[in-house]
Amino acid sequence: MQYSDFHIYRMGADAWGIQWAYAPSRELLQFLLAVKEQLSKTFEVEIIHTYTEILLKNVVVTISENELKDRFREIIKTTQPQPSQKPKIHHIPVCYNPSLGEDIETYTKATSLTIDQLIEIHTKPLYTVYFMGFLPGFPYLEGLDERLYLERKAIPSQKVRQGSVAIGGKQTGIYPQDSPGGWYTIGHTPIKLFDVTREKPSLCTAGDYIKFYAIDLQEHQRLLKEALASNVLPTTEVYEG
Amino acid sequence: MKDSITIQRTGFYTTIQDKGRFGYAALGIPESGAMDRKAMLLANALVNNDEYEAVLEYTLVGPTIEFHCDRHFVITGGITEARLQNNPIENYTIYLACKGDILELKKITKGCRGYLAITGGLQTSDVLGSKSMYAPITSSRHIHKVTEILVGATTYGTAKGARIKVPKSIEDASYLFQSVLKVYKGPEYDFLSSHLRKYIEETSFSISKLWNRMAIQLEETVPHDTPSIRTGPVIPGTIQLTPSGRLMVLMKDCQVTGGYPRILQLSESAMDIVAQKKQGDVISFLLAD
Repeated sequence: MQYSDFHIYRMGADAWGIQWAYAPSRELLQFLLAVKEQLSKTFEVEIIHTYTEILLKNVVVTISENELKDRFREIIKTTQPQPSQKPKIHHIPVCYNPSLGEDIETYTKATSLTIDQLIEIHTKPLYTVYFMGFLPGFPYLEGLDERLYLERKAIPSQKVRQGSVAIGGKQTGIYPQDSPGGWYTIGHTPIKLFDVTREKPSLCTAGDYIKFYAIDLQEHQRLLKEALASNVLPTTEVYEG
Repeated sequence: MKDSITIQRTGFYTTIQDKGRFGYAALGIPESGAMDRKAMLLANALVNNDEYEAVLEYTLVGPTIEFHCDRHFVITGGITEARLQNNPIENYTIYLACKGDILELKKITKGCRGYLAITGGLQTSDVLGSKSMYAPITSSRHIHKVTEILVGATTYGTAKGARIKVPKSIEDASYLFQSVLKVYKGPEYDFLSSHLRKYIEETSFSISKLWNRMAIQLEETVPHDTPSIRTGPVIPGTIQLTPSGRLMVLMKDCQVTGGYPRILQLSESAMDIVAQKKQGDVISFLLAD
């Protein structure tokens, strides 16, 4: 049995959590997603996951607490870590021009990198979307190169613009809406990560990959205009491993 | 022409709320919904609405409303000074407003949030299964001045112009005066030292100036060395302990994940009680077994 070290906790009257004692990894994420899928077949409730936890909300059952825990254990035990859907890769265009990434100069100074080096390192990895949180459609991404780690800003910005691509601590992310934020804005994408009017409001799903690529100001302008006129989605392909 | 009301003045902070948005937390979308769920359910029940029909939730000072149709209505939750056509009216009592009537909801004298249910319910469009206002899911985060809102067909009985007084047993606003919040242990409760647990159980906390539909921060700080956690799921009613030692009570518009230790979880009845607290009000915690 994989990932057998976990504990079940109760949160309030009707929420139940399961917490695994492992470091976050893509393998664990796949397993959590598979467990989530199995749980949702038995429990018709809302299920949230993060790096190492799953939470079931509003669980109303007639069985005892111990029977419920046994049922969770049984489901976890029999889950095969094979998610039913193949992950996608979303190719996200980013303009790293200082006029759009307002903190890029402060950031490159603090990390002793040139803007070109930053772009090269930031666009290289396949980032994994672990889960959505903080803001609607905000993906928690893993995979930032450690050369790009930088403690978040001491004083958060009051308004980080929608579409800003930023780095904070060991993470990188994209702001789906205008929001206060403590990360360094290094660029901007014209792609809308979240739009409630779309059939699928959030571009990303947990387990997907994101890959950034650099565009110049002219291309950014062009895509932004296009995005205003219609719903521009990035190039997305199925990840074949 | 469709039946409607117009919000002439908005009051301090007024939103449309229903049960909330479920099934979208995995996209990072908050639950939302009425802060004082009990008051919303009661209001809808009294005017013969479905229990989760959309209502107006107002804060501290209520809105002024013009009716463009005849509708029964009721106000519940925080005790509100109210006037219909300039005549004082009571809370927890059903009235009929006629076309052209002006309903003024003024100051809340006890509690923090009031609920206005109109028979037929408020008929704004559903966004992801709910009418609850939360930007950017709905286009505005609260109601603006001179907003016209459609109301549904009335389902209320035949009483014309009747003022129906609700039985005393239903008119139960005693929770507005309660200050003890029943809580459960949160997933990180065990991280707290025994000294800290005792302190939290024995302290009277007051509501700080930072309170809204996302969270209510408590004034008193708790000195501690509990580390932050790896970002985990949170839900309305989760109480987090911030690095600076503040207790943060997450409310209906809270994020779906958080990185501070989740030390306590409010019971549902405690959610209704704390939803009626404003800056300076005092609360304490009673740990359930």
